[in-house]
Amino acid sequence: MSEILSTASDAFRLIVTGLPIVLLLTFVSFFPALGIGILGGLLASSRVRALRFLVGIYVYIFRSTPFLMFIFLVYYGLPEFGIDIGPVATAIIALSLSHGAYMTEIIRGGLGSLDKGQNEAAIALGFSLFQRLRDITLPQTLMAIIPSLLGQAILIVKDTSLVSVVGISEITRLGREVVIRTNEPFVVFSLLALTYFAVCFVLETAARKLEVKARLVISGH
Amino acid sequence: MAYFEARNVNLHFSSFHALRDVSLSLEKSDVLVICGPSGSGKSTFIRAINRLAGPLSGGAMSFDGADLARMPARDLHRRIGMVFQRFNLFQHLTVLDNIALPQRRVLGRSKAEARARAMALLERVGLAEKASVYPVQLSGGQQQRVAICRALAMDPAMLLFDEPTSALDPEMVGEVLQVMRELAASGMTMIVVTHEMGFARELASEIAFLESGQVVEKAPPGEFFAHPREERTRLFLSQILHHQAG
Ligand SMILES: Nc1ncnc2c1ncn2[C@@H]1O[C@H](COP(=O)(O)OP(=O)(O)OP(=O)(O)O)[C@@H](O)[C@H]1O
Ligand SMILES: [Mg+2]
Repeated sequence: MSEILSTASDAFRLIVTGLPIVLLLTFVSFFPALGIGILGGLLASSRVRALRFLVGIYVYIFRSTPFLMFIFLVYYGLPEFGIDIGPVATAIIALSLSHGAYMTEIIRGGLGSLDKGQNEAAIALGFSLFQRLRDITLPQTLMAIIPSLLGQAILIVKDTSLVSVVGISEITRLGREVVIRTNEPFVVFSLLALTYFAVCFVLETAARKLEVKARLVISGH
Repeated sequence: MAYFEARNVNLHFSSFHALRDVSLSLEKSDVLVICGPSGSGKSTFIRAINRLAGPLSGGAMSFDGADLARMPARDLHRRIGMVFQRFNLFQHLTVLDNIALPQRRVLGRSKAEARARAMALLERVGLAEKASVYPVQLSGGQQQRVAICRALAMDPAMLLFDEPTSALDPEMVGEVLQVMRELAASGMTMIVVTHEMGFARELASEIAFLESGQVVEKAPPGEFFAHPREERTRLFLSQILHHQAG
């Protein structure tokens, strides 16, 4: 019993050290991924076929490659070209590029569902293309896709558990170290699973709240 | 030269010939009403004026002495406003911001100035108390009045209306027509696609009947209703007047 307790306190310590890294990786990767998604989504909705084609290839590649494979590719691949960026940058690049592909799809879908009439009204009022994007298209698209974007953030949280393979001390990796020391894999990984669950639960709840709010704003109450 | 003039305007949607040698004109403060069966090219014509229908394949349009094709888009759009059948209000903005934002973005007015102008217009159409609600909270007639305010706030020299009342429940048509009536009385130059023949009879300087992309007949309302020259016009009028009476 005391063994389990000491295992638990070990695990607790590792959560305290590892969780901030998970959150940081998620946070730091989310915004570049969103940036890629906005750019990709706009290009994928453009009238130029070549652009749509290129974005299509990008999305296709990243959606069809296991994320783990992709981390290895970046981690072992870049040094082959004389680029050594270390594990943290590797993780952020891999997470951003991979989730950027999913966000491209989310934003392309959001743009596709927009009301053409409002865009025409903006043209008829004299808005420039840039003003239409900034004032009409993007706010409406973002509002409509916020829930999906937070859903994507949850997937980023879960994918951070895979970057342990390149030696980043986030909780999954720390967990394995504790298991080696204590030989209590079930207890340790149960606690870790609970931790991931808690983080994702918070995001999920936020997504729900925002979804309701976005719907209210869009429907105007 | 007339204030607005379309001369032999042709327009194609790929191989489909949507406007065929359309020639129409109006003077300042005039109201030109365009009617015709569905698919006759009414929307295409007024959308061609502010470049929402693609380039002309022939002919020319002029406005206030200038060739419309050469007018920079921003000048054209700030001088010629448009009101749509389905209102097209910005759903994520309040009524006040729907009217204020375009003034700030396109005319460079300050926020305070734009809001003051928006409030004044809302008061004029009896919707001041709706300033802070979102479009979906309004009835169709109210939304269309807001859309008219949004266009008016840009101080346009001419307004285009594409069937402004045909998406409305019958009991709301009157309130929108009333606003348009007041606009016409204040000297606004307007091109109005509508099948409200009462409105046309009362306010139009000229009525044009379009069919298959062609102007079949154009005449001042008295003549248009009393002595239509073309058989097709007569047929159309008897159908539509019968429908509106019933
Ligand atoms: N973007 C487009 N591409 C191809 N064809 C089009 C396009 N817009 C309109 N058309 C065609 O051009 C013709 C004229 O359309 P338009 O919308 O101008 O008719 P309308 O007189 O306004 O009809 P309604 O009373 O139904 O509004 C129709 O046959 C329509 O199908
Ligand atoms: Mg039409």
